[in-house]
Amino acid sequence: MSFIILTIPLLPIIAAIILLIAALLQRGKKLAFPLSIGVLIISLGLSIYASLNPLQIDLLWFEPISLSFKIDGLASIMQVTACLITIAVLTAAHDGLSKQNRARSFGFMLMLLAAALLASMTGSLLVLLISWEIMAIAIWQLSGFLWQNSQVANNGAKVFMLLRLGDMGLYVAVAVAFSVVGSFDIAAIAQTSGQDIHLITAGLVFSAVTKSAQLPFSIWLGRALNEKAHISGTLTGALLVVSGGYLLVRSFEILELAAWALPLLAWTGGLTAFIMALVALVQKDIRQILAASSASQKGFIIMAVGLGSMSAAVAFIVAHAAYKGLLFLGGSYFQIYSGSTQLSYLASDENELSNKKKTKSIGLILFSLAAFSLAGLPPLSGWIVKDDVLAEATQALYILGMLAGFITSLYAGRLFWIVYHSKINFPTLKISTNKNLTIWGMLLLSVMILAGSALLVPVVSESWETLIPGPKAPHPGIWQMSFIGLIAVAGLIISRKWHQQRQLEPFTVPYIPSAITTMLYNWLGMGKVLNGLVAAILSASRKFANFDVYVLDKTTESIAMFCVRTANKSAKDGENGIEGLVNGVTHLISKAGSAARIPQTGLLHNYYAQAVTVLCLFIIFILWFT
Amino acid sequence: MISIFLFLPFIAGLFLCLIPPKHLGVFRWAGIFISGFQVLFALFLWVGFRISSGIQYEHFVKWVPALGINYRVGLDGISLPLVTMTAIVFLASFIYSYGQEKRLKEYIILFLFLETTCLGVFLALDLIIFYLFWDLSLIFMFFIILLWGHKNRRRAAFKFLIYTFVGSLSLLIGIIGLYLMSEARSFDMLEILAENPLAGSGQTGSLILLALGIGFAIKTPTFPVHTWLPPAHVEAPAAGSAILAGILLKMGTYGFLRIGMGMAPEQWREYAWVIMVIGLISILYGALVALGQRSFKALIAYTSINHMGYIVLGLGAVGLAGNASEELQTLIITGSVTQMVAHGLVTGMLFLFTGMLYQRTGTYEFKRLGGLARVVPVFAGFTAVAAVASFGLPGFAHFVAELQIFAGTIGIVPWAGIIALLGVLIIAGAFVYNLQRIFFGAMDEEWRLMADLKPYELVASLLLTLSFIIVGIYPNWLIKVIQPASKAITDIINTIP
Repeated sequence: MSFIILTIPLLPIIAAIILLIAALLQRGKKLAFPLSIGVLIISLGLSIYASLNPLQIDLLWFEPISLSFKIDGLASIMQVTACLITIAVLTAAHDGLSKQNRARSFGFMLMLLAAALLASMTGSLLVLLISWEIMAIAIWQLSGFLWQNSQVANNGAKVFMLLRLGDMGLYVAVAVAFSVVGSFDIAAIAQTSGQDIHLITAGLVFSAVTKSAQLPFSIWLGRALNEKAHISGTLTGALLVVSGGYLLVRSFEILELAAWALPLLAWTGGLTAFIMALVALVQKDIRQILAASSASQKGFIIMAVGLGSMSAAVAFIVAHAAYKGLLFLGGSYFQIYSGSTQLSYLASDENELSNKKKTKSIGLILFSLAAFSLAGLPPLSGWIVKDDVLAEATQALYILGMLAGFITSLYAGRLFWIVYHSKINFPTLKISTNKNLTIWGMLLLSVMILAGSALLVPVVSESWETLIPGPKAPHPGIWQMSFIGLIAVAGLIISRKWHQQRQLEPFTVPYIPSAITTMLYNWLGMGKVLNGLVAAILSASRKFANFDVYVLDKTTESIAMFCVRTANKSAKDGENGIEGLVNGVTHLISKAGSAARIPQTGLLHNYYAQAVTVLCLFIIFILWFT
Repeated sequence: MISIFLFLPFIAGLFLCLIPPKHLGVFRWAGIFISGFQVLFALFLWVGFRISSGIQYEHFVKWVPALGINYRVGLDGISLPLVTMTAIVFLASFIYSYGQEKRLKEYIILFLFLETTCLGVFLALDLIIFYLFWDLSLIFMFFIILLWGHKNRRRAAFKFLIYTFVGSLSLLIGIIGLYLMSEARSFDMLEILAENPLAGSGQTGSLILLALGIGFAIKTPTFPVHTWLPPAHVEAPAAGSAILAGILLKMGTYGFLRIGMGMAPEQWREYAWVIMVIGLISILYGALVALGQRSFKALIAYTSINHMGYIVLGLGAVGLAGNASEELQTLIITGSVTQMVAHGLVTGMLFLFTGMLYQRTGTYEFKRLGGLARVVPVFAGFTAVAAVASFGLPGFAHFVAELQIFAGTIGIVPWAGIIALLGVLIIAGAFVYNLQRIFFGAMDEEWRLMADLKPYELVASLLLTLSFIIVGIYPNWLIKVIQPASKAITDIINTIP
């Protein structure tokens, strides 16, 4: 029966394959949603069932390589979170997608989910590598979903290449681990000593930093969620948040062995949290805010790992998944009803959807809840997990984290105020209409957010910590928690003031020069660097291709032609030469013949004289040599 | 029995010569039927195969005993997967060629002859028999390119013939060298393997390995002797390209493994770093040049150089390993054989796709194509599957192979393995970027009425796709067969002090 856990990722992947084949055959429009939801609910049920008895199974894939799957507290938390988020996301996809695209987008979303489920129950680095590679394919197709536009398609390709670059780090770790330890098992790898552990750790850290969109690789998230991306593409962000720092939490035992790894992670995370929060502050589109914010929030997760506080990292992953998922859903909710996610459009007084009779819809309320949680407003889960992360931070890192938290509450507040004061009249909850499934998804996620507040109760937080392997950090003191809460409140108040002062976009931040704002708006030029890099590689590859044809091949051909020419030449010269030689010899012989006739005079005394001469020569010859 | 398997296509081809060319249906179905039978035959060989390192299904007939030349064929764990892969790729090519009309009789007969020669190379246990099949395969392939190729076929065919013949000659010199050095004065591969005639032979042994190596390198092909490959592929008919890339290239790597490494182990170890560096350059160069291509077929051709490069890299690393890393060496060799199988199936399929594309559009140029997923979604889907399989996505055969090669190589020579991983990255870029140019983006109006896959094209694609998915998902039955044989080669290379 233990093999039942394998069906958890297997079911969604089979459903995904069915839907993708249906999509190729232009079918599956009606099937897509019910099938996906059905599969998701079964997977959710299975992962809850599996969580009851933790186990690990090893399957021999092929000699000598085995795949190992592990269900423990961490795995179950991840799986349940992934399933819940995906259910919520599918509701928005159902509302926002045209029917033609349904089978394909649902197929790739299920593939992404299956990969996430597989990743969360990994017991070995190899399974993680496999799931990540599958994930990259799904994200490629989702972020380049509208392939009819080659620009969008190329964007998807760039996202894919960055993700695959990240996978290579894990590939190195996997290969080194196998060659040194003879196994991919994380616990076994953690037993090794020696220099190789540094190479393994470097691979893991590189992979995690890339996949979590940390600096300087944050751009892929921005690209995956850009303005032109399709609605289903924007949802990858919501799904992916669960797999962010997971690798690091899982492989913590290995990271501990290399002294440099944890501080490096803590600082990378802290800096990303701070800088990407600034980037999020100045964006003009909800999706871009959320994309930058995701990178920044993952910074907190990476920082938590770097500080050695696994339970805080996992709590952050789950809480963030809930509120960020809700914000993404809100974004698509606004898009469905107003056709735009541009803040200036939402803030504008003069759009066709404006309506004097303003009602505060439930969608708006739920969206606000998520924004407050992101800001870190007590007693929401966003506040609690931030506290836990920063509890262990030392001075400089603590200040960095505080600043990042403050800026987070600024942009969360900005998002909230603009949406709150928007003149657009979002519809109230209506169960009857088909178009309103998103609200249910949002409700689901807000329940998750509120449930997160239960972590304040000591019993809950203690039992939470027993679920997570790895070291625990102390809880922050009451003063520290209040301080972080105050900062969040201050951020919300300040952002309200800013909002009143400059209601309309473009948004400028006081005290920050506009040049810096522009740079932040452009994601610190990372997009330009990426484009430049891609262009450089492409042009180099063209040069190589030309070199191959015009230099290498021509050289080889010229060697061949040289042989041919030499052959021709020798054929010509050689023929003349041999003929000349033959002619010369004949000539000489005929001359010799003529000369031989000269002594034949026919006179006897001449012959005698010749005989004597020859005899004398002979005697001289003999005497000479003896 | 093995000789029936070997010569059946040849004899069938001879019989087909008697049938007048107007019976198109007979030829079409004869090709599919015979090659299908060969696949079943190969599967039957699997059933009777016992897992061990020894040669099985052996057949021995005296031929020229005075010179030590005998007809000797047989199978071990390395040749069995290759032979099966050959049979499958030929079947797919025959199914694909169902739509062929031009000079069908000669076409089918030549392909049948070619099948026998390809099988012969992998089955031969005598160097002269090996060489004979090796050369005959060149000649048949030459005629296939010359008779059914595209516009510049003459030039490409002659270039292919002359270039690879130079390689053959070098190989022949090497073979004769091995013969002269052997005590028993024999061309028998098993005897030479057992005797190791080049042990302690100094300079002579190195020169013999060089001669052999040049022959195999041209066939594989590795940088810098690969330039015959792109024009040959671009001009060859699609089924010819599939065979050329899928099977003929494997002869080079098979030769490296069986003859180069097996019969000159001492020299192999001495020059292993050269071989490894050549492999490394082939990987990176092949990937970069593939990325910069302007046509679909040339793209696939260059990715072959990259994929074969992994094998050369791995086999080089095997030679560099100390005796302590026996398991890693076996892992690499097993991975290399898996890579040959994977590449045969995947690249064979990709080349068939280039043919399907050409039949529909008359071009391979990315510039003129674009957005085709609108009109031929199934075709696009299959191509995408083959492409992701080719750049090593888990679940497909290449991943299984490359994982073994990399796990072994990084364990032995970390820097080389890590640099080679860049090739995995770039080759993914080459596929993603270039295939998007064919299938994604805006579409030209002239392709509006393009037809999706025909039934026989679908069958050929499914056959190959299922094969490389099965290997990718559950490879154990394959690996189990290869492993004892690779262990035997590891032992040979490790007996050197």
